[in-house]
Amino acid sequence: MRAEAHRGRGAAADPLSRRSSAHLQRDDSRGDLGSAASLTRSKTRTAAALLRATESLTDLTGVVRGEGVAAAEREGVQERFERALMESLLVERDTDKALPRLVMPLPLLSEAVEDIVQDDFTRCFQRTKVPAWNWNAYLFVGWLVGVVLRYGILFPLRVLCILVGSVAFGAAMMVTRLVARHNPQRRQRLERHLIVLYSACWIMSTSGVIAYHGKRPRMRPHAIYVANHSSLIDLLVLQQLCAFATVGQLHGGLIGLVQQHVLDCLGCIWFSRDDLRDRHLVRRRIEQHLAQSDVPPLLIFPEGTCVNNEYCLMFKKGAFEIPGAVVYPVAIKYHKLFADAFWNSQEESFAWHMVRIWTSWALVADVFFLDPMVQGELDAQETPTEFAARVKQAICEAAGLKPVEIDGYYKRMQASDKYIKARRRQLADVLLQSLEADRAAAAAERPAASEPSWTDSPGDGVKRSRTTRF
Amino acid sequence: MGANSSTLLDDDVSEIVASSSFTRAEIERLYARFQKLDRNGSGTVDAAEFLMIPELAMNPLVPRIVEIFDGVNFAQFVQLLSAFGPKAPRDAKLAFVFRFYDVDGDGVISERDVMHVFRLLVGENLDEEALERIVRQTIRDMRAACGTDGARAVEGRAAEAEGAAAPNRELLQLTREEFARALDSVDVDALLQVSI
Repeated sequence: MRAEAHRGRGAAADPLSRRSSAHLQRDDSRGDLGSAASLTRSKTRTAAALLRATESLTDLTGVVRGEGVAAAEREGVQERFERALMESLLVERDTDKALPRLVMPLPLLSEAVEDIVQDDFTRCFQRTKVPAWNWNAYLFVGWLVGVVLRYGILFPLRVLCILVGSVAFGAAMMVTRLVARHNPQRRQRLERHLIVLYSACWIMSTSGVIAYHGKRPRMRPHAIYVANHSSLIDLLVLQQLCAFATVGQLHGGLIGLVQQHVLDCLGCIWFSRDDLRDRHLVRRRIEQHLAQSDVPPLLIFPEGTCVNNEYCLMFKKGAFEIPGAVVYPVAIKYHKLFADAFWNSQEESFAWHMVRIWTSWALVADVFFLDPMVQGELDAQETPTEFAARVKQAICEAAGLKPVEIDGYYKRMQASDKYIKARRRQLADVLLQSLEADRAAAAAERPAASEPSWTDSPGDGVKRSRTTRF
Repeated sequence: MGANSSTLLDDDVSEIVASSSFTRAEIERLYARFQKLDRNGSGTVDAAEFLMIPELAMNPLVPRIVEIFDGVNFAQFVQLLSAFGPKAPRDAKLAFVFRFYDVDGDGVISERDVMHVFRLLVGENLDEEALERIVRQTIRDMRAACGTDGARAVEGRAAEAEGAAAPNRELLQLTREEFARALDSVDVDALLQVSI
C-alpha cells in the first residue's frame, strides 16, 4: 500500500504533460469513456479511501509490517486517519480526466448515490430486526400474555435479583477488605471469587442460557483471550467462568467508578481511547502483565468497539504482536430470537441496554473457546497483521459472523473538511488543465493568429494550488 | 404509501415496482435501507439524516445531492434512485442529470446553474473569473457538440482565448433537448449505475 502511495506521488509529479495529452486524445474521440466506466463498481472511491485509511491505521501501534521499518510517529489517531485519506486521493488522481467537462461530476454523483443505497459502515452497527415468530393473528393472545409476563413479572424479578446481588456483593467486598486488609494477596483472591460470583448474578438476572464449548479458560501463563465484542455483557458472560483482566477504555460515570475501584484486583488495563501516548503505555503494561504468573488471564476485544454480532470488524493488531504470547480465540454468538445483546453506546445508555435485555425472554448465547494460536506457528514470516486476520477468521467461522475489513474507530471519527478540501483542489486542477488543453487546441486550429497571451503565464489571474504533497 | 408503517404493503410494492426500474427484491432491499436512513422513523429522510452516512458526507457534491433528496418519502426515494438502476432507460438517466444541473429548477441549465455545481466541485480553489471562463467554455462546448451553434464554438473558443477583452456576454444556457443531444456520444449508462 505504501508503494502504491509513492506511485501516486510519482504520478502527481508530472501530471501536466500526461493529463493534457490524454485530454487532447479525448478531443479526437469523445466517446472514449473506458476509464469512466471503471469508476462505477461495487466499491466507491470514498469507500476505497476509507479502506486504505484502515490499512494504514493497523500500523498505528508500532512496527510497520513487511520491511520492519518503524512507522513515523504521528500526533494522534485522527491525523493519521486523515493523512491516509489524503494519500488515497493521490493514487486515484488519474481517474478524473478524459471526460467532457459537464460529465466530469457524474462519477461523483453516482458514487454519492451508491453511498446512499448502502454503506458498509452503518451495516455493522445497525440493530438486526428479528421478526417476532409469534406476531400474527392466531398467536396474538399468546404474544400478549408474553408481554405481560416479560414486563410485569420477569422484569421486576430481575431488577430485584440484581439489586439483592449488588447489595450482597458490595457488603461482601467491604467485609473482604476489612478481614484481609493485612494480606493483599488473599484479599485479591477473595475479591476475584466475588467478582466471578457477581458476574454470574448478572447473567442469572437475564435468565442467561449460555452454552460453553471447548476448553474452559483458566489461569495460564502468557495467555491472551481474544473475543468478538457486542456488549459489555460479553465480559460478564466470560467472567462468570473465570476472572479475567481486561484491556479496555475507561468509561465515565458509574461504570468508570466500578472499573477503577472494584475491578482493580483483576489487574485490568484501562486506557483512554483518544490518547495515542496511552497506547504505548498499554502495550508495556500488557507485556508486564503477561510476565507475571499468578494473575488472571488477559481478555481483549480487538475490534475496539461493540458490533451488532452479525459482522466482525478488523482486529487491531495490538493484541497480536506481543512476542511469546499465546492467543486463545473466543467466539461469542447471541441468539437474537430471545434477546439482542448489541449495545450501541452512542444510541443508548448501559442502563437502558439492560432494561431492554431484562424485558426480553432470556439471554441465549453460544460461546466457543477455540484452540490456542501462536504467531508464526504455520508460517514463520507471519506478521502481526496477518496473525490478527487468521485469529479473526477462526472466530468468524465459529460464531458465523461476516468478516468486514473496516476499523471500529470510524464510529467515533469524523472525516474532516481537509479531505473534501484536497479533493476539491484536485478537481480544480483538472478543470483548469482541461481548459488550457482546450485553448491549446483552439490555438492549433488557428495557427495564423497571434500567440495568445495566456501561454506566457498559464495561471494568469488564477489562484491555483498544486497538491503534490500533504 | 405506507410511509409511516414499518412494513411494506403488497399493493404499494407492486405500484412502486411498476413505476421504477427495479425488481421486487431490489425494492425490498431499498426499503430496508430507507428504514435505516430514516433514523427518527418519520417516514421521510431529511438532509440531516443523509449527512449521517459517513462516506456521503465526504463527497464534494453532497450539498446539491442532499438538496435533491431532502425530505423524500419511500416512493420518491425509489423514484429518484430509479435513474441509477441497471435497467433504467437512458432518458431517465439524462433526466436525472438534467435535474441535478438545473439548480434553480427553471427548466434550462443556465450559466448560473453550472457555476453552482462547479463551485461545489472546486471549493475555494478557483476565483470567480476563472470558474466563469471554465463554465462558459463548458456550455459552449456542449452547444457545439449538439450542433446548435457549431460554427460559433470555435469562434467563441478563439474569442475566449484572446481573453476577456472580447466579451461575448449573451447568457449561455442549455435546454433539455440540447442537453440530451450534446450527451449523445457519452455513455451515460456506464457512468450512472449503482448496484442495489
